[in-house]
Amino acid sequence: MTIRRGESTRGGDRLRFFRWHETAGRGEPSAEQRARFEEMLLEHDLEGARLQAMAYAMKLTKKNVAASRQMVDDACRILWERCSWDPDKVGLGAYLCGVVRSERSHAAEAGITERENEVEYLTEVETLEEGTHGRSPEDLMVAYEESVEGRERAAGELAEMKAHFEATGDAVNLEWIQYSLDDVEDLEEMARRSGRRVEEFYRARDRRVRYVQRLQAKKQEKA
Amino acid sequence: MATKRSPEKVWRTAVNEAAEDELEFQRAANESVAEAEKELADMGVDVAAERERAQAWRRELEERVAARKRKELVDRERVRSIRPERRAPPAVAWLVAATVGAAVGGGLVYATMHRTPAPEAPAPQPPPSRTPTPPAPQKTDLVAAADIRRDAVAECDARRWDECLADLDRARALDPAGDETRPMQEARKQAIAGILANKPPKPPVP
Repeated sequence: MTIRRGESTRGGDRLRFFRWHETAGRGEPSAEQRARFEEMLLEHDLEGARLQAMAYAMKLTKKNVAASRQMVDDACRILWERCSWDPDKVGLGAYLCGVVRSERSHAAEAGITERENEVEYLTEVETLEEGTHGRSPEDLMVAYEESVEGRERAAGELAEMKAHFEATGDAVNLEWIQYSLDDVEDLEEMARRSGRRVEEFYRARDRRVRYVQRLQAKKQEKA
Repeated sequence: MATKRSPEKVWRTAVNEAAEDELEFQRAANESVAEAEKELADMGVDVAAERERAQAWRRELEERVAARKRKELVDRERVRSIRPERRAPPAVAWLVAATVGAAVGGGLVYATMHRTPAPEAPAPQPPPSRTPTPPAPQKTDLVAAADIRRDAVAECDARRWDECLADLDRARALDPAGDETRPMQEARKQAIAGILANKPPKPPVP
C-alpha cells in the first residue's frame, strides 16, 4: 500500500486495522540506507501525513497545539532516525500516528517505571491482513463487555493490575483503582479529593491504557 | 473491605478505556488528509501554518538529497578528470626507449670528442606556477555574488541544474541576504527539482 501525494489514506469506506509490534532497538541505518530512505520519503505526501498525525496528537493532548506540534516533530525525527517506515505495510500518516501514540505512552510511563527492564523499544504499527485479527475496536469492546471470562477472572485481572502499579510505584493509578471501587468515576473529582492536579490522572490513564493493551497483546500472541 | 463497585466493573472500565484509545487511534490512522484538515480547523488550529511547517520539512529533505546528488556528480567529474591516460603498449615503449637511449648515447660521444668551453650558465628560472592566476578585476563580494547569480540563472535556463545550484551556493556564501530574494529562491527550487528529477546512477556491480 503506497500513499502518494494528495491521495486519501482511507481505503474505500472500510477501516483498515493496525497491528502493533514492538521492535527492539535496531542498529543505526547506514548512510546509504538513509539516503535511499530520504529519497523515498520525498515521493510521499509528507504534508498530509504530518497533518494527520497533528490531528491525532491534538486529541491526545486535549487540544494543546504546542504539545501536539512537539509530538509530531518528535515523530518525524524518529521516522528519520530509524528509517523504519515501510510504505508497503502502512501509510505514512498512520505510521506517524503510531509513533505519536507510542511516544506518548512511553512518556507517560517514563517517569514512573523502569520500563520493566526493556531495552529501547519503538512500538510500530502495520496494517493487518484481512482475516487475521480483523475484529474492529468496536467489536473488541463488545467482546470485553460480554466476556465469558467471568467475574473471578476480571477481579483477578484487576488484582494483577494493582500489583503492577504497586511494583512500579504508580501511586496515582493506585488511587484511581481505589476511587473507582468507591464509585467515583470523574477524574476531576478524584483530583479534588486527592489534592492532585487532574493532569496527573490523565497521565495515569495513559499508563493504565498501555498496561491493558500490552496485556491484551500478550494474550493475542499466546492465542 | 466492602466496595461500592465490584472489582470486575473497575477492571472493565480499564479495558474499555483501552478499547476507546485503540478506537481513537484506528480512526486517526484511517483518516483522510481532508478529514484531518477539517478536524484541525474545527479545533482552532491554523491549518495553513501547519502545512507550511510540513513543507519546511520537505524542503529540508529536498536540500539534503540535492546536495548529496550534487556531490556525487562533482566526485564523478573529479574522478574522470584525474583518470590516467592509456599506457602505450610495451613494444612501442621499448622502441621509444631504444631511440631515446641511442640519441642520448650518441650525443654524449659527440660532446666528449668536440669539447668546447662551457657557456655561462643561465640564471635558474623559477618553476612554472601551478596555481591559477587570481581574477584580474578585484570586485567586492556583492558584485561577485551578483555576477555568479547571473550565471546561475543562465545555467538554470539551460537546465544545467547542478551547476546552477552550485553557483547559487557560491553566491550565497558571499552574500547570504541576496539568496533570500524571490527570484533566487525560485531558481534554487527549480534547480533542486531538476536535480531530483534525474535518478541516480546504479551502483557498480562489485
